[in-house]
Amino acid sequence: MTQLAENLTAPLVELLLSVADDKLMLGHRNSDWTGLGPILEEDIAFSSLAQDEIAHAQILYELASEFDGRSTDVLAFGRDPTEFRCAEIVELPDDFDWAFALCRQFFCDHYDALRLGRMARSSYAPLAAIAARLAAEEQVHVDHADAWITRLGAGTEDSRKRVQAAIDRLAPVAPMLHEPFEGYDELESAGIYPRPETDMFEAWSAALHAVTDAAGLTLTLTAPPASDTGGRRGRHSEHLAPLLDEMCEVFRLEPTAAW
Amino acid sequence: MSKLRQDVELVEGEIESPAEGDFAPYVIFTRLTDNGPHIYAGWVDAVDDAMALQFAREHYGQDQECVNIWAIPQPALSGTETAFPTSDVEGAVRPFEVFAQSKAGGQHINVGSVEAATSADALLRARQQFGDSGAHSIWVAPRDRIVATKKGDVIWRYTSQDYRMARGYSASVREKWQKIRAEKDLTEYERDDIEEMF
Repeated sequence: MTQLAENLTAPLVELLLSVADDKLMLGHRNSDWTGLGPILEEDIAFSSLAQDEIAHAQILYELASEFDGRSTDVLAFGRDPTEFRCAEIVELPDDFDWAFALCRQFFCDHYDALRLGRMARSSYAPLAAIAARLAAEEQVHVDHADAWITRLGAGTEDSRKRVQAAIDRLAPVAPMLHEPFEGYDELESAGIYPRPETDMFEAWSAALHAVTDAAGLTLTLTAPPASDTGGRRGRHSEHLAPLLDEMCEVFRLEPTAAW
Repeated sequence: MSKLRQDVELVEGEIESPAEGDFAPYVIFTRLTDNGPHIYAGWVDAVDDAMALQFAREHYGQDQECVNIWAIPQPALSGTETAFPTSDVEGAVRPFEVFAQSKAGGQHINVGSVEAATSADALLRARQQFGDSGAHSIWVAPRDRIVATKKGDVIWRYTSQDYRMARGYSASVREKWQKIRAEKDLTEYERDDIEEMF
């Protein structure tokens, strides 16, 4: 299918924005680590992965732009905080805690891999094509996060403690990645965002546990009640507005400038 | 660095914490096409084989089309030059991959393999077999010590990130200037300035 029913375009934009906004924020946050990574190799790798996140966001904004009408630049830099669809976990400052930055990546990469896998099976061909490409790159991110969590968890007492502390801080926030966006059910039944083969939360939790269990780390994840509303519905933490203020500073100087 | 970060207090020793002890050097070779040879790309330091491959993928594979990567622990490489003392590989006869550099400063390219029981013997055979054409330097490494990416692993980016390259950056800046030049009525002074710069 290459033509989308009119009533499904708004839900599709919601899906695209929730993935792209997560990735834009992660990419923006993590690019801060350039020059500060724990070792040179990882410094470069982490910066590279941050650029991937932004590249992925851009591609998704381009598709969203076809339905939304606003340009990719405006979608990325010209929206109010309440119009963003990112989850709280990507908004949190990492306070220069490498373990925190890495563990956040761990939770988000695994979720993105599942989400993009679903999108790659979409009945809407343009979405499936994009998602299949991004899913392949996302696997590189997953491998990277898993490799570090495994080694740090089974490393020294110091490394294990730091990773465990970061997991403990993020585990209560991370499940809200799964919060459904507006129009989720319609998009799912239409096969645009096809039903997952197994429950998303369970699959996500199992993938994370496979790594943390092997590394001797403890992880407790609780699915959020369906009544909880957060970032996917535009309800954000107090961290998003200052983050956007800075990220969009240059764009806002001259919103119509060509970049 | 983000301005938001400037107010965050650093934990003492956080940035300086030295990474030492567990890291070992790996030499990286990339294969750019399905039928092409593995060509020397550079080095990474890593704690183990899997991480060496991860880093190699990020550093040497991502920015160009690349189908396979080899990471070879430096102690497993032996060379006809002083940079690599003969490694101590000994045991059953096994295949060694041979990398030849045709002239000083050139890249070492995988030219084939030889069967040998020791590194010293492999080097000798490699010289006999591949050194005739005047190779400047030859390296050998036992195939069983080579860590390789699997078929189907994603190594290079699908998304365009030309801006990461100096050439990509200047191309995109030039494009923007040309657009501005075409759209706006500039004074002669500015026009000259732009022509000089780009």
